[in-house]
Amino acid sequence: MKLSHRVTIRRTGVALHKLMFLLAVASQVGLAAAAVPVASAVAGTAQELLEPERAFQLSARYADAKSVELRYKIADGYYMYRARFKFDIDPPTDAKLGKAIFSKGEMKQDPTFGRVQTYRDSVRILLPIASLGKRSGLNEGQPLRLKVTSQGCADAGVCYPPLHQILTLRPASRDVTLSDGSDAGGAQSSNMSVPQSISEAIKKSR
Amino acid sequence: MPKLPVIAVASVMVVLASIAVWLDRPEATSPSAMDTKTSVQGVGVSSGALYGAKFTDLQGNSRTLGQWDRKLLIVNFWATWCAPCKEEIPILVGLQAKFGDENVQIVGIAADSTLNVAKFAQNTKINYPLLIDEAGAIEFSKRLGNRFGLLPHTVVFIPGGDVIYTKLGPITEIELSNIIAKNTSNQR
Repeated sequence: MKLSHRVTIRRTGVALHKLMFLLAVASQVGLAAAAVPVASAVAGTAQELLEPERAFQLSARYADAKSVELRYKIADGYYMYRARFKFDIDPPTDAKLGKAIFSKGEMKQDPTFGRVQTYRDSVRILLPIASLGKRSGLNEGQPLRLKVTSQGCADAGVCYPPLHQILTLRPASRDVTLSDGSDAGGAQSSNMSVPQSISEAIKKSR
Repeated sequence: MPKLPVIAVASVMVVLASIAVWLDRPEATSPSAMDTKTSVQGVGVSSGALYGAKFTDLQGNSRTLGQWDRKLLIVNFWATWCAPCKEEIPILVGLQAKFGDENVQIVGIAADSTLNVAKFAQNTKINYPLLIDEAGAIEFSKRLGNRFGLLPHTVVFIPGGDVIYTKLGPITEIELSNIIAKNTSNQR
């Protein structure tokens, strides 16, 4: 009788596992559907547009002990504005960022802002960490949250709103992880090579 | 019959029933839940949310869209950092001039700073109201079906607040002109 109970319990457990598995699969399918390029749900738009994180793919790594290199891989048919990049330590600490060094973009005339620089294909940015500060705890291995703001448009004739992303920097291990601004998970490690010209630019700037 | 399997199966049934009840739960009631819902392929907000949403004008005054609730209202979400938005403004200016006497009102809602909008307005003759909400305009636009908060975004409301037309990206004079003509008394 006891054996029969065990078998039944095991079967019920399997059923529960199946239910959990199905629920997990269903949620993953839902997430995947949200992540693929989509056509706008709004009437009158035939153009398929990428989600902002896919149109402007951010990756980052430590270039050296005192600077982080960011790279945006820009999808074909999309572009970004240099003047719209912004970098903030979030929440603010006594650590300080240096002046960002950008790769060269294309000049464009804007009726409101005059000559503006834009990027296609990619943009590389070297962001010096001018000071780790004394109260930030960074010297004791505390991570640094860097809020990166960017903004771009599509040739289809639309512009994306400012995109806020959070990079978590760990100076001790020189590790950089990327998560979305809402801290909703999805963190991913990112690596990239340092272009020679930008490395040299950093050295010259010091 | 052994009790344990029965309890286990019953537990599963209770869990499934709970999930079903949870999925079928009604939406939380909001102050505007009694307002008329609007729809263009599921796009729309309640008339209360539409006409009660607060913005500021270039003079810093609080404004709502409620003052145009009896008009064919064309809301254009834009920003000075959006080049395609600025390119279509002359079309909107032309349409406001053409249809202004026919109970049509165009309103620009900027996802931008007052400073930028004021600077832009100084150099561009715009004959319709410009409202501003740097932080909230995109969110409002998203509530009108603009999933990514893209600009420009144009939405046409008939009197009462129902959405009859939305467009992401640049509008053309002819398509918006046709929409207006079909929904005003004096068709051209």
